[in-house]
Amino acid sequence: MRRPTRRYSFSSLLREARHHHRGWAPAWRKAEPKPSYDVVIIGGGGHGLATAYYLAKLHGITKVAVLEKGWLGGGNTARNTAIIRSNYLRPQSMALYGLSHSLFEHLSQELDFNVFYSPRGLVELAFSRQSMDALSRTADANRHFGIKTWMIPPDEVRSLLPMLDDGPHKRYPLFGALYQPRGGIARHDAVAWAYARMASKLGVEIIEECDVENIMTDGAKILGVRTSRGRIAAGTVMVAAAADTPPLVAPLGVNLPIEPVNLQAFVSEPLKPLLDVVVLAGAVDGYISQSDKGELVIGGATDRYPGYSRRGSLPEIEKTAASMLELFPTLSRVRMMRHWGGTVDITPDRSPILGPAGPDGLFVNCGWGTGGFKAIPGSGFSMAAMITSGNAARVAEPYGLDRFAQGRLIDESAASAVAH
Amino acid sequence: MLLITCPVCSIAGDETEFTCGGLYTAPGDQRVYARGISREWWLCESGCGSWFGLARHTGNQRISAIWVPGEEPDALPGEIA
Ligand SMILES: Cc1cc2nc3c(=O)[nH]c(=O)nc-3n(C[C@H](O)[C@H](O)[C@H](O)COP(=O)(O)OP(=O)(O)OC[C@H]3O[C@@H](n4cnc5c(N)ncnc54)[C@H](O)[C@@H]3O)c2cc1C
Ligand SMILES: [Zn+2]
Repeated sequence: MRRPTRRYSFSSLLREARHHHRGWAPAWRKAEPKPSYDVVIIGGGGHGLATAYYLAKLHGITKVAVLEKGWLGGGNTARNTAIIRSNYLRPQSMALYGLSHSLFEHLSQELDFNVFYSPRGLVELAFSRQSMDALSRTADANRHFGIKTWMIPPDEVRSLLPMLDDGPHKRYPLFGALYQPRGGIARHDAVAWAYARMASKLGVEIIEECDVENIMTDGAKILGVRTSRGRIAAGTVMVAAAADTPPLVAPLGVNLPIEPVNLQAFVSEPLKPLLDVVVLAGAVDGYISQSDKGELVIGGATDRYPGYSRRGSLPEIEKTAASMLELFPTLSRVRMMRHWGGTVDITPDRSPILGPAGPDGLFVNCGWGTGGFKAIPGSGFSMAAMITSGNAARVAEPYGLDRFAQGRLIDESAASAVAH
Repeated sequence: MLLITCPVCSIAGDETEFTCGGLYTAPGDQRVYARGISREWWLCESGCGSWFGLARHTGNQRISAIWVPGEEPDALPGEIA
């Protein structure tokens, strides 16, 4: 018999401790595929799971299946460096990432799951007058939009970041930084698990190891999907399969301008606390934060060519290591413990593609590239609204595929010059 | 890491010496990247500056052919149609 999902609380922890923790229900049900659903979501990453949760929670649509070819969060959602910020330049981006950021503020409470959201502050370093100009423009735009960011002078950067080596001999003289005090990090896999657990509690079926082979249509509208575990009928299908989205929808005549590119990250041995803020340094293509366990989490730029290998190339590792040592020579003897790669889905304007595409009933939620972790709550919230009420979701609406044909690009290439 | 030899000037190096120019398609061709062997344009950036063709598996990154434009190989085993 299925045990009901119990609230995670101090009293339930005490109760379970008395019974050797044998009474916990699995966080989500392992469902078997049914012949049909109202909505099928392809991809059990953050964006698929969050959309499923908000469909059930806010719109009462619970005949929903999330189909994942591997395990939940096994894509980029649990491969990223978990940076959360909303200091983007364009109004459309500030609306989307700002919404997401505000949902992150209470996500642990909303989902009854500690996602370790830690708004510890984020600095984007400027090493030239030009990058001061560009970041100041972002700060001004953010202020107009009510997103709290501002420029800070070198002295303030040094007090936030005593480890930074910016002596007069340095190749990159420090000019200042863009500071977002509520920027930070969260635990990436916890975000996927939390959405999965609550969606499952509301009736959504989460089906892992279910590879979608193709999407069925009668030419005009969506009929369902063919999977490694049989056919499933559905009038609405949302594809949130990251870089696997373009080949899935191309047979339906939907050409997504997305390139799959590998992006890697590294984690050091655990150290005593030495870095209180998240640091982005576009000039040297590197960024760094310190996890709660004490590990330094380091990332750099994407590979210079497309690929699905989920393994980054050696020159990028060298470049990222060099950039970190340029800023923090004191780290030269720190040992690296782990290194991994993910295949990110890059669009020409570095903004996602959200909304209907091709036959009636087909939606895409992809193109998140190097920065979609922070957007998971916001995109799930707005895609659920879009699926239920057409284009009533104002925040997601500008991100339609037609923007490329109409020249309405939402250019955030400067914001994502360094991957995060 | 990719190890590439330019078919025009024979300079050899890793990918930092070359630039990938995307899928080897004619203008207007709407093909997208997928897992499997894809034909691509590459530029010999540090050498002779010529564009050439290269077939690469996008999953395991193995290079199976390199050619001068006009001397394209016939269909390769495992190539995406
Ligand atoms: C190294 C690295 C660092 C990053 N750092 C940050 C960061 O600091 N901050 C930030 O905001 N973002 C960051 N990102 C980007 C972020 O991880 C992604 O944008 C985000 O996770 C995308 O989520 P998603 O749900 O769209 O995709 P994914 O999590 O990749 O989920 C897609 C899922 O679809 C499944 N799937 C694919 N094809 C099929 C099929 N045919 N049938 C069924 N299932 C299928 C896959 O198995 C996968 O689980 C980083 C990414 C990487 C790789
Ligand atoms: Zn050459």
